[in-house]
Amino acid sequence: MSGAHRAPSTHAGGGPRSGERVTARVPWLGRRGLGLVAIACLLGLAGAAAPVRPAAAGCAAADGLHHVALVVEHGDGRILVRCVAFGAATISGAQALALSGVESATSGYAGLGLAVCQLDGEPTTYPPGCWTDTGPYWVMFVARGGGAWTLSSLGISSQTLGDGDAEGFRYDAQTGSPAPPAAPGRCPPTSPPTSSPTAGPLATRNTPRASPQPSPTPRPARPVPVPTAPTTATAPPTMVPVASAAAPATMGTSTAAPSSAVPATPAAVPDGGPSSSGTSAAVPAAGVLALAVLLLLAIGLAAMRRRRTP
Amino acid sequence: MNPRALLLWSAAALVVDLASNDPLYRALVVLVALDVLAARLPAERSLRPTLIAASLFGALAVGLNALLSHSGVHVLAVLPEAWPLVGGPLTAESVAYGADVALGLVGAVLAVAPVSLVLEPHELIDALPARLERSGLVLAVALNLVPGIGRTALAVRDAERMRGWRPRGPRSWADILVPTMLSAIEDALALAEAMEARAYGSVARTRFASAPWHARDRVAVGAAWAAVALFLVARLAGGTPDWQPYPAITMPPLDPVLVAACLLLAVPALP
Repeated sequence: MSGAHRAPSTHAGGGPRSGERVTARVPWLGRRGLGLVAIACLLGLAGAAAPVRPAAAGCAAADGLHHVALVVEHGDGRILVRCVAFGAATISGAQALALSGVESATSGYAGLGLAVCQLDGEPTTYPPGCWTDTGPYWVMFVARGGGAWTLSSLGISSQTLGDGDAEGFRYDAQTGSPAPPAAPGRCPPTSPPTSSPTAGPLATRNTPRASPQPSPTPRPARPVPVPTAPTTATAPPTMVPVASAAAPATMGTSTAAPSSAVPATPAAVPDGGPSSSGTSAAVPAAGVLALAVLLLLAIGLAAMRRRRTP
Repeated sequence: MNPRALLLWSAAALVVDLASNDPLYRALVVLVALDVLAARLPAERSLRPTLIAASLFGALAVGLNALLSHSGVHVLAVLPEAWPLVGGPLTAESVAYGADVALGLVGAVLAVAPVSLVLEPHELIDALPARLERSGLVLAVALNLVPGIGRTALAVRDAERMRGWRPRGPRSWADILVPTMLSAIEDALALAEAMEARAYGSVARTRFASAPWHARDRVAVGAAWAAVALFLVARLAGGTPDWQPYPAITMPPLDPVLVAACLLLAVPALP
């Protein structure tokens, strides 16, 4: 099991905030966990020693001073790419994830930070410790300045990203060394300005429209891949720029509504009660269960009555 | 009921209880075990201490999980984050998972309870295979040890009270502890001599007339292990996915076949 990428690091905020799906348990981190953290640190050092490349220039699609790309590769091969804009010099991985609007759930490890349990609705449920030793899990990668992916050595709350960096997540089956996401860690290339519904104060930094010439169907310079259905095995990545506020938002909730420009992803978190797939079978199942309970209660009462009768 | 059949039933109920973490099946196993205990418990024995102990274990599991696990989306209350370990949100999901663990724990306790509550120690030895004779003997002696020491401690305490002893801090309990330990050692030596006098370890063991197997014993054991087979087959076929309450509580999956398997365990409770 390679836990380097999931090795949670120091929580930037100290402890879990109210409203976050955060756990404070550390049962998983034994001697093996510490060893994995050490390996993660070595990998992180290796990543830090890599030459820093110039910032990627293709991230102007979202409004803001700085941009980071977010790449999410699902277990079935679907790829989601978002571009997050922010005003501060750096941003934490958790803040970038929150700003991206991608649904996520994290789990904190006391003094070590946040690990990702759920992204974009995958998996629909997860065990109390966020992952198991053998099951699939979210692997985190980081790309600096548009470079190659490197395994993250820190949890997302401690991973610091600057302009042109990218964070990538890949749902790995834990069958071997985790492979990085297939899509590069870059924001989508600049597209002609469209009617961005989320243009904020920094929208003025965008290239102004050259002229108000009417264009019935403005075609982007490069076609924007359309998000595919979840059933598609492999698909071109979804590239959707996401404009954001000038400053990173605080991590309030781990479930953020996607922007209007983003097609809805499959429902991520069931809101209690029976799941939709089990609703049709819930009534007969509940009936069977009720019958079984009644039968067992009757057997028990009869046994107690026999016991009292000499 | 044949002691060996009851032992096999306990093992089967334990496997079913632990085969899935679905709280519905676990609740059914708890009900089944209570039925069997109600039907088979000797009149002079009480189930109350076992129920109290199991309830305490269950409450402890719920409380610990609710306090230590802060995952889940339905927040019930928030403890100050400055409190080590327990600080943070208390969620309905963590309470539900704690209850699931508690059900498993209580089910396991009640599944093996007939071994100590229904069977006599000599029946337990007799129920074990010949290869496990010595292990069974050690187990039987151990089962007798705790209540035996308890009885001795009560007798010593009563005798000391009659001589004017009153509990005055931890040191005063040495007056009870020392005679109790001496009595226990004395009892152990007496037991060893008695076993040696009965030629323990020299020749093949003598035995009581083994309890006969009746048809209903065979049916009970067959039904119990059929339930185990159903659960294991379903497990191997992926039909019993573990229930995960996080991030939000969902209805545990329920398979009518596995509900029927749980009901098969109730055969020993039938008249």
